[in-house]
Amino acid sequence: MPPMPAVARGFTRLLFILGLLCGGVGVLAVAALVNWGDHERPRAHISVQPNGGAVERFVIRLPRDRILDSGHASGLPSRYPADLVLPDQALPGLHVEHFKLRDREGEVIGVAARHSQRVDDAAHGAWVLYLPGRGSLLLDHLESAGGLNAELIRRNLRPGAAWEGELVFQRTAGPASDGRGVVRGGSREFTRHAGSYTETWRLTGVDAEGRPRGTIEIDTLTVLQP
Amino acid sequence: MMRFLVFLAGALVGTALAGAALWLNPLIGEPRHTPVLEHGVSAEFHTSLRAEDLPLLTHSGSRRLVMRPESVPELWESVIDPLDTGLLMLRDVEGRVVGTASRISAVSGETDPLRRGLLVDSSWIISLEGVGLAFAVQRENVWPMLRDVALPAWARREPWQGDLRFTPAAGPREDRAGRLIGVSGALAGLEGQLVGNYRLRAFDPDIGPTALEWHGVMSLPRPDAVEAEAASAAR
Repeated sequence: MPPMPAVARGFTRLLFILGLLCGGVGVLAVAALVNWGDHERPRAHISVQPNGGAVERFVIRLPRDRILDSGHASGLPSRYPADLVLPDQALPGLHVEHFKLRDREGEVIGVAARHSQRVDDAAHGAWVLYLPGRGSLLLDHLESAGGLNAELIRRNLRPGAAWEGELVFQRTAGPASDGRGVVRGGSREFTRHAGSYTETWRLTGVDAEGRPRGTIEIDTLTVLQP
Repeated sequence: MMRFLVFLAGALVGTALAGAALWLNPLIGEPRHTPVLEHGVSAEFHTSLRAEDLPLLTHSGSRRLVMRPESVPELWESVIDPLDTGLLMLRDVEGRVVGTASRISAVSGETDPLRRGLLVDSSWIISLEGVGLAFAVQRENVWPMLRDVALPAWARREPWQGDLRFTPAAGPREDRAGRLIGVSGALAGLEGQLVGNYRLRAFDPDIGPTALEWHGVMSLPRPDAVEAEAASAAR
């Protein structure tokens, strides 16, 4: 086989180096330019108040949006999913719920977790609303005296029996004015958010298994902190 | 034809070199130092992936990660498809359940394989029995665990067993610790750090980590120190 001319060897080297650069730069460009955590971001239904602040409503439809309910000692509400097993000594005085979260149009836009705990003779509630394209919003409030469960029992809800009726119950009772809870910021676009909110349960019934039916509305009024 | 093959060989070598550079990239590896706990009061908790510690975990159903209990709803809607949500039992050093945490997480939109790694953002509500409620916001870089355990296990389709300890803390605080925000009880008004230390001992290519322990450290200022600081600021 005749030796390759010097010009051809040089050209072959050049081609190899060009390929090397294309391959290397291509991989690094893909790594740098692809958005690896690109989450769908539905349009936020936010209205701006004339005196400042942004208003947004989040909705949970019961029972279809329930993911988890640690249940109440009375059986109202019942534990969900039914095959959820919790350690015997866990959760005294604590009620944990997880839900799918919707916008005011009814589209699923996130997941929410709610804890309600009695400490020092007062019941506190806390929410994390996690919206994948936007971040998480942290909310906390003082629970209304007596609580939702006591109100339902006062209206003749009994374990093992279905209940039909109309109940509108605002669960927030401070610490902000007018019985509103407070917005504690969060992550990403909510990091600098402050403000207040209300949590209102609109129930139309509870089935014999203790599953509530209706909606939960969380109405936030947020302002950006400097 | 010969020229094309030479170019292709160069491109393959370039791709392999760039891949190796990403694999070994020190910018996205585990940092040398864990965040320094800067407050007067710290508390440690541990939990794991066992059913008694993590009674509920759900996601879209398409991930190589366990879901429980069997009838838990899947997060199948396209918008919430990236999320995981779980309920954790927090135990003290003697194994007693002393708290409960809800954790919702997703791969971060700020994931960057060149400079930051594979970031996972999570938001927590933590309830400590008789103590109070707190929020936590955390960012963790799971690339070192993925590189050292998951990718090799997936490539070989063989379970991994070993003992890997890692602290993937990546923010959002400047010191890379998670942000802890006290809500009620003894935690009300306090802000501090949350740092998760992990110990991975088994990984299954089909269902992900099977033996994973989490040792979390909460660090908070002493309430009297906060009061003194507030009084000093008022003066």
